[in-house]
Amino acid sequence: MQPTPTPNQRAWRRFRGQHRAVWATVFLGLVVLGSLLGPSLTGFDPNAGGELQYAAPTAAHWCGTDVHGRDLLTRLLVGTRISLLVGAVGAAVALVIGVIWGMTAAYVGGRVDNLMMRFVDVLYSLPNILFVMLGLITLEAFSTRYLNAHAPELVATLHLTALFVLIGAVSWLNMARIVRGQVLSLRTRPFVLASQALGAGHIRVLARQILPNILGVVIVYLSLTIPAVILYESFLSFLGRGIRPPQASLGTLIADGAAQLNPLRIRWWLVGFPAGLLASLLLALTFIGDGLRVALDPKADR
Amino acid sequence: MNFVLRRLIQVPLVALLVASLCFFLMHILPGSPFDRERAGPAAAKAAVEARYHLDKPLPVQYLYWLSDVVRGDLGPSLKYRNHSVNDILAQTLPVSFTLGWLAFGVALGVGVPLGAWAALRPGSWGDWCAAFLVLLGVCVPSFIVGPLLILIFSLKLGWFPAALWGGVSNAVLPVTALGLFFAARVARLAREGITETLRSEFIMAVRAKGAGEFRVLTRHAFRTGLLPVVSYCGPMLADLLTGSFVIETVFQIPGTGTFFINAFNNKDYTMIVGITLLYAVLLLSLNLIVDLAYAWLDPRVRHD
Repeated sequence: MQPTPTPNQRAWRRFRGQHRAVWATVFLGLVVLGSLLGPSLTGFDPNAGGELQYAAPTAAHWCGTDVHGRDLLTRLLVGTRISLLVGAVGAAVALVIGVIWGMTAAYVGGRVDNLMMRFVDVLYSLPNILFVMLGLITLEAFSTRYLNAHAPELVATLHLTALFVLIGAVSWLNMARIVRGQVLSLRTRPFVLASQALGAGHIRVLARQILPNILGVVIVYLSLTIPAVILYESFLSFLGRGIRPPQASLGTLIADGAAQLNPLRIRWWLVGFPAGLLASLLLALTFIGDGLRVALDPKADR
Repeated sequence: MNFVLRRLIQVPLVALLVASLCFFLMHILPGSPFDRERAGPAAAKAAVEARYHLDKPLPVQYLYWLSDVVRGDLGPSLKYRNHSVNDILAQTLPVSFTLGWLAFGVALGVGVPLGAWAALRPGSWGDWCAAFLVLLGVCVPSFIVGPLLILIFSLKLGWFPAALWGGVSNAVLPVTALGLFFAARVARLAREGITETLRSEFIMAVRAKGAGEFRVLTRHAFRTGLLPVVSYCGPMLADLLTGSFVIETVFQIPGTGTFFINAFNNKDYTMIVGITLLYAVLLLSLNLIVDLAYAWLDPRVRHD
């Protein structure tokens, strides 16, 4: 007799069965590793200019060099690190706010639920670029007034942190809606009522009964949020409000490369490599998300 | 009917709430839109600020603004002197609307048939096309697709102009870039919706009573299966009609989206609030229309 596999084991088995998702995970792992090792892997400084301007890909510079003679591959790796970091932190912020907001609204219910969800609706009808722009502009005014004089080295860090938090702070609305929908249907299930009848406090019911049951949906939605957040950062960088030079993200690299497009000389590597890397990164994340969705689908057993 | 009436009253109220929120957010911001002006006599700056009521306390400013807005006047632009926000919208909105409606047509015209094909023939050539388009649309942002289209069809092949707005040939590339992005999302929703519907029991019942396959699809499967697409149409149109900043920048099209983003850099409060209000009104009204269409399409939904 084989022991009955636990739900987690079954999910893992289903995930392994999807080759696309497994390969995407391997690819993502390699990209993460490369971006962490970065400059030490290629031997170039991502921000130090060189003699060779606009060199096409060669044995020394695998992806060519940019306008300042910087090695593009090194910049790609460092930029990927920033992009992945934005994706992770932004999605984490969205996760925390969204889950807490949605769970509270659905669990408390009634007037509180109504008020909280109308708030979400109002935020929904504002273009979310509004908040990000306002936040960044406020921060800029603050840092030119105080930080530039006293602690100029903090400006870049502060900008980066604010960018992470702001992107996360505008990405939680869908998560809140989805979590609320799930919790609404769980709230009156027998096992939740039983737990309440046994005298469990609200926090305990939420943490022990409800949270484990919405975890699957949350993980799947999280895997969709990460690429969305990465894309959003690259969009902001395209607007010139994202990562500041000399730091780079995949978005700024693409924007810089696209600015070099002209009919006379086509420096394809400047836009081709970052665009290709961003696209394959998003592709891998999408495949992993799809894989997780199948693996964690409660209806998939049987 | 009661439902419709209540929602109809809600639309302007929520829109006004949204715009008021935006108004106050704007005024919490540090700095004045006239900070960048050449340093003139303080009296001149005070005169300019008085002209735009910026010297009054915030609640008074709000009342001035509110009384103008309810009369349909979004106020003067703080950046483009002698132009009101209404003027600028009157000039840019027709451009963004044309671009937006055309892209909407492309999104539905390409997305729905492709999604339906993929749902009806899983594993077929059409399914692969749909999957490819979806991945392309999700993974390749429009600021890559735009320059790429220009590079290939304008600079290399010389078929279409690279930029600017005017003739039909100007519209082809931006509409393609914008439309395909949304077509990808539409195709995905259509495929999932129709696949799901075809598995449901009422389709079995319709087939069992002997309806022809064509009738099953057009009268029943599509009607229910395309509901996700219908509900996506609201936000999609609101986004499209207020202009895409990326596409308008890449193709140098004088639309509303460019003015919106630039307004942030210029601290042009009235412009930001005006366009936000416009977006909110569009989104809320479109969502209302979508909800009504829903009730009409799906007999299980009833608004009482």
